[in-house]
Amino acid sequence: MAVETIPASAPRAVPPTVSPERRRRRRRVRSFLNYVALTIAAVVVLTPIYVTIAFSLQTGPQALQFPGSMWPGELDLSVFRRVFEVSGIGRYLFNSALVAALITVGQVLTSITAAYVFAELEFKGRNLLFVAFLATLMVPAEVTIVANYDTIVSFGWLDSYQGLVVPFLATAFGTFLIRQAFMGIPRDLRDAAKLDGYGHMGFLWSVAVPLARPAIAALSVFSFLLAWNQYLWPLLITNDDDFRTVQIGLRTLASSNITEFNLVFAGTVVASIPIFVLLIVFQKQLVRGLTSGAVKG
Amino acid sequence: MAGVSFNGTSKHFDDVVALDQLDLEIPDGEFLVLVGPSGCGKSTALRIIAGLEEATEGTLHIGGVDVTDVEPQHRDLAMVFQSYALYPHKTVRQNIEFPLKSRKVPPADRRAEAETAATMLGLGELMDRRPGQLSGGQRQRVALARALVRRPEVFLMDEPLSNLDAKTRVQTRAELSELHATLGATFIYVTHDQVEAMTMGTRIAVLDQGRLQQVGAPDDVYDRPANLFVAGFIGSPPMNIVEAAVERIDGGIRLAIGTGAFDLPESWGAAVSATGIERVAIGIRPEHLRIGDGPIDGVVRTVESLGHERHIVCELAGTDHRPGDLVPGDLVIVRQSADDPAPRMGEAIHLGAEARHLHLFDPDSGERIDP
Repeated sequence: MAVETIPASAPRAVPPTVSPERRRRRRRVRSFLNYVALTIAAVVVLTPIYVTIAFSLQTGPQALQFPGSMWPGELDLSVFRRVFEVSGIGRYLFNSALVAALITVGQVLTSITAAYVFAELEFKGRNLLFVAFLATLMVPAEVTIVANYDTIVSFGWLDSYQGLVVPFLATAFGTFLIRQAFMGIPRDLRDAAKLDGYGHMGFLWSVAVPLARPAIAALSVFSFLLAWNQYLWPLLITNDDDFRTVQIGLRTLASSNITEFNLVFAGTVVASIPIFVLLIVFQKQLVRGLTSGAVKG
Repeated sequence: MAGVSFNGTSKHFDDVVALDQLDLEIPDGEFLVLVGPSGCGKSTALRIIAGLEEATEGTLHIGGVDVTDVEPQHRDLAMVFQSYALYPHKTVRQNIEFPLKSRKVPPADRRAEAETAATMLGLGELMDRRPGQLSGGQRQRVALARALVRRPEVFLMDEPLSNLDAKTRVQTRAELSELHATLGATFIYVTHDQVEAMTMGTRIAVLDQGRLQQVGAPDDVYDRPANLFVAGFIGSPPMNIVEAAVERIDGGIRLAIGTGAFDLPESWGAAVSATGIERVAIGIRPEHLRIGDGPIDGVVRTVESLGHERHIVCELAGTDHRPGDLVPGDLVIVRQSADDPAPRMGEAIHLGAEARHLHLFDPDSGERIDP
């Protein structure tokens, strides 16, 4: 059999070269374009926040002017006190905090236990059941809202905390997120825990949950955010001010204080503060939780 | 303390037979090494002892009690994993105390037990660190301390040294042997490294494709391998295996290898004649092959110097089974002292060995033929 050989003198393909100066320039241009894109994104995100704060610091007539000013008026923080006086926003904030906290605790607990079952226990039809569970993510909340409303009415839970909380105690997203975290735990750790004398519950609470902390923190923040920002469901099942949440309260504030627009903006600022604090405190966990398992590390 | 016995134990994963009818008695206090290549079933056997896998057939007894259906936590075993399996969120102290916590040992006693185990393994300074802050050797010792603190009947070890560097491995090997001598407990140790098997085990059990090939003291397995697989697996460099044609001459047996031939001693001849085979597999350890006067002709292909010794790879003349290949003939390795004169590459040589160092096998069944 003839063997083809490359003569030693054959010219070799030389890879194209780029001068270091040109490479540096390219890098600088790419970096500049990145900064431009990020600045535009930041402006888009921050403008509504700035406008809300600026308008809340204007007087009532100033806020109603057209075209209005984008600059805050005098630094008069009394508007924030007034918003508590003229509306029941204090009660609304309390209701939102309570409902969001209960929903968060509930979702975290049900997600942890369901995720453990889907990640660790072997039973017939497990994968099918998990797919069916995940499929509920595809169903928009509006589709089930009438059925949920009927159920809550039949339980007599209109105008009640349980009506606000119970329909949201389980989440397919949370189960999925934590199941992924549990599946990243090496099998040897489960085996070691078994030999160390721990059953499923022992392993779950002593090993799996501490190791899945970033995902659990991310889920907690998400659950709280979603629960805090709920609008349609609380509007539907509450008529009594004692059970209304802050988002409904803001709507009421807006419709009953049309001449004091700054008050509405001040209320919005007050309602946003807990969420901002939460995001700032848990920023790291949120990012780590959502990206955990994305890369091998 | 307790012995362990497999009684016709098998494990199937769907169509794959991981362990096939294993019968093995491990007496109380023994250091048994399960050795074999990847996928031979050694880790499956260990996991069956631990209760982490269920046997498909057969039974398992620990301390004379049938534990086939007993949960892992009730078997009174401790296991050291290849990955160490330390809980990364717990400190060294918490890792060591963890098995005692499940047994509801009071905190003060737990602490004392952990301190004792840690002192024994030289972990005193590291008790408040997390596994991520330890070296491989230190993690290994923490895993051992966690096993030790429970004072189990049986210690199981699944390739515990494979992630360590060469120097730490040698040191930890000695420490484990010492620990076994101190505790007197039953140690069952899985490895694919035959050096570990030879140096640590009271006995070694060689597995291949889920079947037990041979069990015995390391020297016995090395000196009298039961079949071709064991002969090729135990020993580094491995035993040279060469096929030879059996010629019956004047009532004796002559074996022809390539261009060379030699007569077998009478006792061997009778044994080979009794089998009626036409070809035989000859096994010779590299350290038993001599360059100089000998009936087998060969050519030196490579000379590898290891400093204290030399490995000389020779091609046997007249054994060109694969025409067209770079090296078409059978290769053998000769282990030579660094003090001996080194042959040149391409040099024609003669090879020989003493008859007492020969191992003969039936090439079809692979079984050993004894004189």
